[in-house]
Formats: sequence, C-alpha cells, structure tokens
Amino acid sequence: EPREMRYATAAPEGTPWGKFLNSTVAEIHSRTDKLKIVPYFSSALGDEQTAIRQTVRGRIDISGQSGVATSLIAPSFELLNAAFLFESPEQSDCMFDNHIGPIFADQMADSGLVLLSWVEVGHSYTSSKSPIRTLEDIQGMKLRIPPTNASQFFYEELGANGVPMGVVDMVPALKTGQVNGITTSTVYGIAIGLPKLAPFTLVHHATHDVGTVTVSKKVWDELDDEQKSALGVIDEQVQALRAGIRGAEAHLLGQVEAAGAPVYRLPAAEKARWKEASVRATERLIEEIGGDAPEIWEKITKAKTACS
Amino acid sequence: MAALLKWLLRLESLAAALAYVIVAGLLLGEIVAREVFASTIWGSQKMAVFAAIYAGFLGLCLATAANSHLRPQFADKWWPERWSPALGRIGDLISAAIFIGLGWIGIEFVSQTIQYGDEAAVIRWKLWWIQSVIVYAFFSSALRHLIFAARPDLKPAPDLAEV
Amino acid sequence: MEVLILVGIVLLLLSLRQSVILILFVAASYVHFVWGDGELTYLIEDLWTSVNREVLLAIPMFVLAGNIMTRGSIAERLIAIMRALTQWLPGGLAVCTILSCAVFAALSGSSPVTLLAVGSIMYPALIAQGYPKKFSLGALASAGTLGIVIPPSIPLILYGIVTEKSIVDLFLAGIVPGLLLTVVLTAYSLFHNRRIESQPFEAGQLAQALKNGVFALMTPVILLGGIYSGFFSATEAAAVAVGYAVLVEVFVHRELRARDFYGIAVETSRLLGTLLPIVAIALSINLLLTAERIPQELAVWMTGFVDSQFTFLVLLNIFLLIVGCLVDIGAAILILAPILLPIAQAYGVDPIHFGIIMVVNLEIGYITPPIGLNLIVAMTAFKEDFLLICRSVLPFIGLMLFVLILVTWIPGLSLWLVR
Ligand code: NA
Ligand code: NA
Repeated sequence: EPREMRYATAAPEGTPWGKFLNSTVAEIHSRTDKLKIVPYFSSALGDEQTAIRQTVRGRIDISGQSGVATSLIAPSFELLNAAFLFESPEQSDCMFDNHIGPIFADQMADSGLVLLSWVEVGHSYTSSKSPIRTLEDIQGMKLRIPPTNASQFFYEELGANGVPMGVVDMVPALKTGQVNGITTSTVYGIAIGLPKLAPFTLVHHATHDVGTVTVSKKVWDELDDEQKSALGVIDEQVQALRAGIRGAEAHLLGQVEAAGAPVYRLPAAEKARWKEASVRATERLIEEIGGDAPEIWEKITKAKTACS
Repeated sequence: MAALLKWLLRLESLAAALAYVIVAGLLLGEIVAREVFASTIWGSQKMAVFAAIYAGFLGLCLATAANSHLRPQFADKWWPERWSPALGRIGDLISAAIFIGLGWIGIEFVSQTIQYGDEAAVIRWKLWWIQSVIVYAFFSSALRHLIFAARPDLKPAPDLAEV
Repeated sequence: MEVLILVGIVLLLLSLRQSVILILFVAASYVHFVWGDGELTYLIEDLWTSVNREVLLAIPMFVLAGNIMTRGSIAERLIAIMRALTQWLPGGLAVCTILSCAVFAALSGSSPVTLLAVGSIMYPALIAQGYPKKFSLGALASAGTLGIVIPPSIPLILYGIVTEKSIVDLFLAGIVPGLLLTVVLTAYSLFHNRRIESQPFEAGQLAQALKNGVFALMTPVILLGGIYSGFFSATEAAAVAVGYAVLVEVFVHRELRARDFYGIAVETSRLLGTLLPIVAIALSINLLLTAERIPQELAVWMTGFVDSQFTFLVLLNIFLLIVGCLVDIGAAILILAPILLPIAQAYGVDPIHFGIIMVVNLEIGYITPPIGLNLIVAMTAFKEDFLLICRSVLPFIGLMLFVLILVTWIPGLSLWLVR
C-alpha cells in the first residue's frame, strides 16, 4: 500500500504551475511505488493561508504557496517581497539556489514545516486604464495591489492609491472602476485577460516573487529514505518551471504587443526614481515586521552581494 | 440564577451591538478613505471580519438565551405527552453536554494556534484571542442550558427568528 | 452501516429536542470521525476557516440594513410611491404589491424580509379594497421571493463564497431574471384583477409621495449604482446600506432613535447567531467532501450515463425543485453548489449562469410545502390558514416555473449584463 499524500496548491490545473505539479507527481510515482500524491488545485482545500496552516498540523501533507502565505509561518519571509530586491533573474536564481534556503530553514522547521523547494511565481507588472510612464502618472491612481505590507508601503511611497484585495475580486473591481489598474503576477494577469480591460501594460519587474513547497514536518519524519528521496524530484524539476514561467512571461507580453496594445518597459532613469521609493518602503517594512527582520535583511543583503 | 442570566445577556448584547458598530464603521471608513483621501485604512477588512466573528458567536449565545435556535418539533410527538417536562430538561442537559464537548475541542484547537504562533495575514494579530470567542460561545451556551435544565421556568418560549 | 448509525444519531437527537445547530455539530463530528481523519480539532479548524472570510461580512450588514428599513419607514414610503403610480390601473393595488416587492428586493438581500416589509402594509390594504384573500396571499408570498433574485441577495453571496465566483458578476446576472419575474407576476396580477375597479390617477398624490419618499427611493439607486460604478464593493455596499438607512431614518424620517438601533443590532446578532454556525458547519462539511474528492467522482459517475446538457439541465431542475421543497436555501447552496458546479461545468454550463439557475430554483422552494419559509412567514404574519396559503401560491408557482425554464435554457438572460 503506497502512502497517500495530499498536495494542495492555489494554482489552477491549466496554468504552468498546475502542469508543473502534474508532471512532478507523475515523475515521483515513476520513481517509487511507496507514495501516492493526490494534487488539489485551485485552493480546493482552502486558501493558501489555510493550506499552509493545515500543512503545519499535518492535515495536508504537502503544500505549494506564494511567498506571502509563507510569511505567515516565517514573518521575515516577506522581506523577499521588497520591491527591486533582485537586480536580475540570474541574481535571484543564485541567491535562492545557494543562500536563502539556510536563512529560513531553521525558522520553518521550528514552525513544523520542511522546505522542499522554491517555486518561481514570476515578476509583478501593472495593467492600467491610462498609461503609466513616469511616477507622475501613478500619483493618486486607484491601483489594486496584493494585500501585503511590502506592496502597501511600496505603492504608498510611489504616491499611488493602493487598494489591497484578493485576486477573486480584482477583475470586477477593474470593470466597475473601483480600481483603474491592477498589479499582479505577469503570467496570471495576462492569462486572465487583464490587457483587454486595462489596455496599458507596464513592465516594471518591481518584485520577483518566489513561493515555497513545504512538507509537514510531522509527515516528513514518518517517511523512509526512498520516499524522501522521491520527493526530491520537486526540487529537481524547479529549474524547468523557472524557464517555463519566464518563457511564458516573454511569450504573453509578445502576444499583447502583437495585438497592438501598448507595452511599456520602464527605462533605467525612471526606474531609478522608483527604486528610491522602494528604499524607503523597505525600511518601513523591516520596522513593521520587527523581531529578527533587521538581522535577516542583513543576511539577504550579504547573499545579494555574493551573487552580484 | 435569574440575575446571572440577565447580567450575562446584557453584557453579551452590548458587546455584540458594539461589534456591529465597529464592522459598519470600518467598512464605511474604508470607502471614505479610498474615495475622499486616496488612502486606505490598513487591514480594515480583516479587522471588520474579526469584529463580525465576535458578533456572530456572541449572537450564538444570545440565540441560546432567547431559545431561538432552529429546532424541528415534529419528533416531540414520538414520546408520550406526559414525559414532556422531563424530556425538556434532559434535552437541555444533552445540549449542555454537547456544547461542553465542543468547547473542550475548541480549547485544544486554540492551544494549538497559540503553540504555532498563528497570526492574521496583513495585520499580524495573534489569532488565538480572536478564536477564543468560539470557545467562549460554546461554554456560555452550555452554562445557559445547564441553568435551563435546573430551572425550566427561566427558559423562554421558543422565539423563532425570521431569517 | 455507518450511514445508518448517523441517521439513528440524528433521529435520536431530534427526539431529544436538540436544535439544528447541535445536530449538525454532532453529525459533522461523526463524519470527521468516520470518513475524515478522525481528528475532531479539524472540525473547529474548519469552522474557523469558514467564518474567517471577508465576503461573509456582507451578510450581517445586509440583515442589519434590512432590519433598520423594516423597523423605520423606508418600506412604507416606497409603497406610497408605487401606489400613486399604479392606482389608475385595473387591479392597481395588486400591481403595486408586486412592484413594491421588486423595489424593496433591490435593497434587501433576503426574501422573508421583503415579504414582511411589504406584506405588513399591503396585505391589510389589499383586503380592505376587496381583493380576494387567496390572490393577495399568493401574490405577497411569491413576489416576496424576489428579494433573493434581484440584487443584493444573500443566497447569491453564499454561492459566490462557496464557489469563489465574483459576487458583483452574480448580482449583475440576477437583474434580468429578477425583472423578468417581476414582469410576469405583474402581468398576471393585471389580468387576474382586471375587473377590480381602479381609482383615478392623481398627480398631486404622486408628487406628495415622491416628496416623502425620495430618500427611500434613492436607497436602491445608491446601493446598486455604487456597486456598478465602482465606488464600493458588494461587501462595502452592505455597510453603505446600513449607514444610509441610519442617516435617513434618524435625520430625514426621524422615526428611529439610538435606543431602537441597539435593539435592532442585538436582534440582528441573535439572528446571525442562528445562521452563522449553520453556514460554518455546511462549509466545513464541504471542505471534507472536497478533500475526499466526492464532487469529482460524482461528476465522473454522472457524465457516464447522462450524455447531453439538455438532459442534465432537466434532471438538475427537478432535483433542485425537490431539494427546495425540503431544505433551507442557504444550506442547500452551501452544500450543493460546490458538488454540482463541477458537474455543470462538465456539461458546459457557465458558473455564473449556474448560480442563477440554482437561486431561481430554490427561490421557488420558498413557496413550496412542506418547508417553504415564505409560506411559514406569511402564515405567522397574516394569521391565515397554512393550507389556504399553500393553495394561494399554486398559480404563481406555475408562472415561476415558466420563468425558470426561460432562465435555464436562455443563458443570455443571466449573462447579458455580465459580459
Ligand atoms: Na435583493
Ligand atoms: Na420549500
């Protein structure tokens, strides 16, 4: 009898993350017949926050979630959502592959989770009803932002009127004009057709979001070596997912451009002004999180130096 | 015992009404902040949800106090009519026992929350002191059923709320 | 065997005079114990997860607003306007009843609230003007159900919560079917009462009613206008309804005082206290069913022998009508929507359209015996015989079934405003 494991994710089955999970599960099953992974897509077992808590309790065995949900277990994790933390995708890969895991591993183990892998979520971008070229354009704009302190502080420092809301509400909010723009992940936003509702696409790469795949520590301790090593497949396949998400970002942005909609990439000089705002926002974020945040931020900065 | 019931009812009613004032105030404040001042009351929705949870579970106590929980009465006829008073008291004892059982499980759940240090998203409030209202509601309802079992004259006639 | 034991426990608790909430708690514990992971703290965890959602905020706020408007004079003033507008028609007061229900439905999220608010004023008026008792009861009980199809609607909010669909889209989708029902019921009322004498139209009376009722009339405009123009979300609209109702009743109509509001808030909280645990337990049973993959397996099983969308929709409607006869609409939506939606989607039914089909079906359940909430409310409020009320709604059930067929097979009626 194989051990049955529940794997919860917020991603719908048809998305790159859903496909990643399906192919990973198939690969795990081919390596061992001592595990049977049952995936639950589209937050079927509850939203990310619920899922990660249930993973801690061992009710869900494995969960994949965004950095925001992870920060509920390890609050300083939100520092990775600081705007313009990463200079390039290569730098972020280097940091996650070599340095960041150990910074958080102890904290996660203390909370009852074993970190299996990092998951590429991709870059954030903004779809808006009127063009955003400069900081002046965004002043006072009602902009949907993810409900996190990191984005709240950043868009506040930029001068926008950030309206925090979950993804379910954002399309109706844009349709009715409750917001006039949406900041979200590039692949998700374009895939659900935001550019049709808000034609101006701004590529700013303000955040590079990376999520986690975690196993309940209670469950992990009951697994034998063969089962543990089979779960290692998840980490092996992450490279393919990174390439897949970045490819999808480029492809989708290309599609938007090909359809004749304006796609604007923030030029270096303007980006520098946005980064100034991000420095102030990050200081506020470190203070808001408190606790070990200053110490962790120092470690992250060191990792950044090592990878530049 | 009548005085205790009265005092408890007043306290819970006040707290529940206050919680609704907070819910409406936060939601309306958020609209004004957004549309008039181009800003936001950080975490207002989350705080409003917590206030509504308080109001809702205090409402559970109030409904127990008013004997207004939905209860199908067709099965009452399955027993002889003359057993009715005794069955009413037994029913209250069983209700109390179930609520105590639920409260007990609730304590276990809340202590796990404390142990894991669970926090609310965004506003990072410790969740246990919000979840505690569930445990409170169970025990407060249990207490009322115990009193009703001891003093059936203190139990109000069923007052079905109109949904 | 396990199922038999569960049924036995439920029957025993019923005969020992336990409330629905406690029976549900015990049944849910049993289900967790036998089919779930056997860990009872999961029940409390699910309870917490179920209530810890922002969308649930809309429910207490709409109930609170409804209670304020019923207690104050907003309903009364709306009816005066409708009356001045329709009294020149043959059967004008009947038409006024239907239209008043429709307008009140646009600010109330609940059907019994709509029935009570309009019925307490219109029922005596109808009888006094010589309308048959049977027609009057039927018209009020049926038009009272418009509260949950015409937005805002608590059942549509529940559907949106449990299926994670946009509540604004659901509200938009409810408008045309709600208006269609209103038109059909109005037409029938005109026809049925064509011989009842009308009164002359009086411009002065209308002007006076409008003057008295302008703030009441603005309520649906502000609510729905605010949602659809993006000033506030569906959840916030509920709080706006509360705020506006308080302002109007205190400062304009001067009918309510601070003390009244305390009573209304406590009453609302008590009402929610009977509702919230049921919602929470239903949602937690749902989570358990999902974890055990019951909906998916049902969908596979069903598509195995029902091969067309048409047949599926026929079966669906029959099933939901039966459910509507027996079960409370809130519980039905919370438990059935997540189970039925994957099946419906397998047959190519749009999720928003499906929500409207469910709500219109269950709306009819409000006026079908044995358990029809509007029948029971009408019986208590108007102090009439239950059987008379049951007979009075028969022609209206027929009309509503006709609209149900249109709504089911013409998706555009629901989806026209959404797209
Ligand atoms: Na309504
Ligand atoms: Na019914």
